[in-house]
Amino acid sequence: MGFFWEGLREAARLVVSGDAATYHAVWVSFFCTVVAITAAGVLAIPYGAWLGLFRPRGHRAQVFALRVGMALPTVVVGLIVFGFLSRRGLLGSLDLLYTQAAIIIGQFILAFPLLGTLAHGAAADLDRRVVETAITLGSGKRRALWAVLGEVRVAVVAAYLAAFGRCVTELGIALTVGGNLPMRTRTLPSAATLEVTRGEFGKALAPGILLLVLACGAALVTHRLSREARS
Amino acid sequence: MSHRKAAALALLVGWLAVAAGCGEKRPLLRLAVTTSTYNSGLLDVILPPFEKQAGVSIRVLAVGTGQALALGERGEVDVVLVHARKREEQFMAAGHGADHREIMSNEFVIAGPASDPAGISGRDALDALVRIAKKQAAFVSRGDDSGTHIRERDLWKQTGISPAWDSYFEVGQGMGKSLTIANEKLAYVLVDRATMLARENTVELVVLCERGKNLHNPYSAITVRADRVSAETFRTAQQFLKYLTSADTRRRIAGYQKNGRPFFVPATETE
Amino acid sequence: MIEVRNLLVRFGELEALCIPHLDVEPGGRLAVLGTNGCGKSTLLRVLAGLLPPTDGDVRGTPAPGEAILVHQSPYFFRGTARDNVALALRWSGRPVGEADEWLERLGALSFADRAAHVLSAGERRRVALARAFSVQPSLLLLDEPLTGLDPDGRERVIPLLEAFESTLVIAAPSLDGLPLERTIDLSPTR
Repeated sequence: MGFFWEGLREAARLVVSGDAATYHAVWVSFFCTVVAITAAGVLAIPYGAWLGLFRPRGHRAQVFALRVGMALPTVVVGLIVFGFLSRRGLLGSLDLLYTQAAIIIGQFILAFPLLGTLAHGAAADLDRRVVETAITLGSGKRRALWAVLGEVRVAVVAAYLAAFGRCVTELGIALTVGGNLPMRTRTLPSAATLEVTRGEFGKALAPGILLLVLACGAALVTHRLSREARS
Repeated sequence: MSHRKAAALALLVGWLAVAAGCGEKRPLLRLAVTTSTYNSGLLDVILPPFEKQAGVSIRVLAVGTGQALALGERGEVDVVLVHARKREEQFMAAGHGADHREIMSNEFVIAGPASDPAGISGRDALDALVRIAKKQAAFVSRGDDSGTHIRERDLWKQTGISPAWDSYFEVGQGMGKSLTIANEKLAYVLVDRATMLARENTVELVVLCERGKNLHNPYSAITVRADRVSAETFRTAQQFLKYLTSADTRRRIAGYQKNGRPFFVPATETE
Repeated sequence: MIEVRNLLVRFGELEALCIPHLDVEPGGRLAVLGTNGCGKSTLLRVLAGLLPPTDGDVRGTPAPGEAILVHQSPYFFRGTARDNVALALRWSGRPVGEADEWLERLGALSFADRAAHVLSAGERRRVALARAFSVQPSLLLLDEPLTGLDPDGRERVIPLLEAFESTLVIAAPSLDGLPLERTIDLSPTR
């Protein structure tokens, strides 16, 4: 357990000394995940809610696909993206491999089914009268969807928090398509893994602790948001 | 669910858990090896005979050199197999290891794109690195304090160059992954012969530089000191070390080849 | 002109509604009476276009937004009572300022600023009716509009129903003072 304290000390030292590599890793983790989940949410949340509210033809199969997608291991997602972005892949000419863009694409794929499933659950659980009221009041299907999303704001915020957690801590995508390049695509989890392979267990905890701080921050923000939504 | 069904389910889960935990009835020998050794597939050839003869089950952890030595220091493993001479000497000097034997060796090579933009083909390692630095050509470094990385750092030190240009990539990952990255970026990379052999069909990189004593890559096994492990485990570990340096093993190592080319050369008897 | 022919609505095994023939002229007024569970609410939902019939034909119902259904237990969105009426006005392209006028008519102005969710059943009924009337639909479908209202509430709602000019269909357990002449009774005869 000694390395736990070493980890705390090392984390404090890195933060206080303004270690560039560490701050950059924090930035990469935060930036990639926020962009990925925002983009995924913009598409997945209305889609999931639409499936839950209007139950169109084939909705059961789509919900099933979303749920399966939620269980995708990050390594598998990483390999799929790698397959597309590598030199021999369909999108190889875009030269996106080992960039932050590649990580964002991978985390988008990771977050999409998660956000879609949670949105579907929230919408499907809603009283049928919500949709009926909105529709009979002349909102039309699209506006009804937005009205409903407003009603389930708390659930939507929670979904984003879940997606944030899943993406910011993932390793398979960051390593496989990010490449763990320092000051470029090194995230907090990949930095931690590197220290583990070096045998520096204490130092490995430092990025982990910073990740925890990041997660706390996200939880605080969403807590504040959901309190406002409830009032 | 009725009480009886619940009880039966609980029993089943419990039994599965215990069974999974129990696993082998045979005593365990824990071995930490570097990723390059593991990826070569050699272990599948040399470990089973010892397991049978000694009646043990060997648990292999494939980790970086730094991690392997750290695990050995903590007694989390019983034997380590690494290829970083200076670190091994530090390890022994600090008293963490009981016995140290060189087992086998091969060489490092510098691989790169067939187009060879820095023109290093056929040159010796130091000359090649100087040219790569001058051209600021794409180069992938392990960046993880592994045996390979330590050697790479040594070579750079000998050239007097501190590598740091835009396309010098320290990926901080294992040999296999680093090779993949080098392949994707069509970069130069220092890689051990065994990994290169194993991967030659899956990468477009070719071996450009293989001359020089400074590319010699010896692998050694170290048993962890006696007071970190049980007496019986220590005895088994010492037995294992003797087995690794036996004539039988030497034969098996020499015979492990691909298309007639050996991955490793066993250490000579005088070691 | 709304024409219902051989309407059948089934939920799985359960036959919820069966109406061989029903006509409602534009501007017509109809009370749908019957015991609990005889299908009154179901008929309203079919007429509102929210529930497709299992079999049969319903013709002449207006588009959503032109037909307003006020549920037995009305649903409100997040916000105050006034917010909910204003929302309906906004969606139907009417001036939002009319919200207060309608709340006043239903005697709901005094609690217009309270969150709709926390209102009592009678208060909610008033706000829901204000919301429905404010949009001035061409077909107004009310499910038990007098339930939960105190005498003051009834005194306000009944004249509004009398004065309503477009098509009006009300579902109720009994006529009970509702200003309608034409009734149909869905109670099962068995």
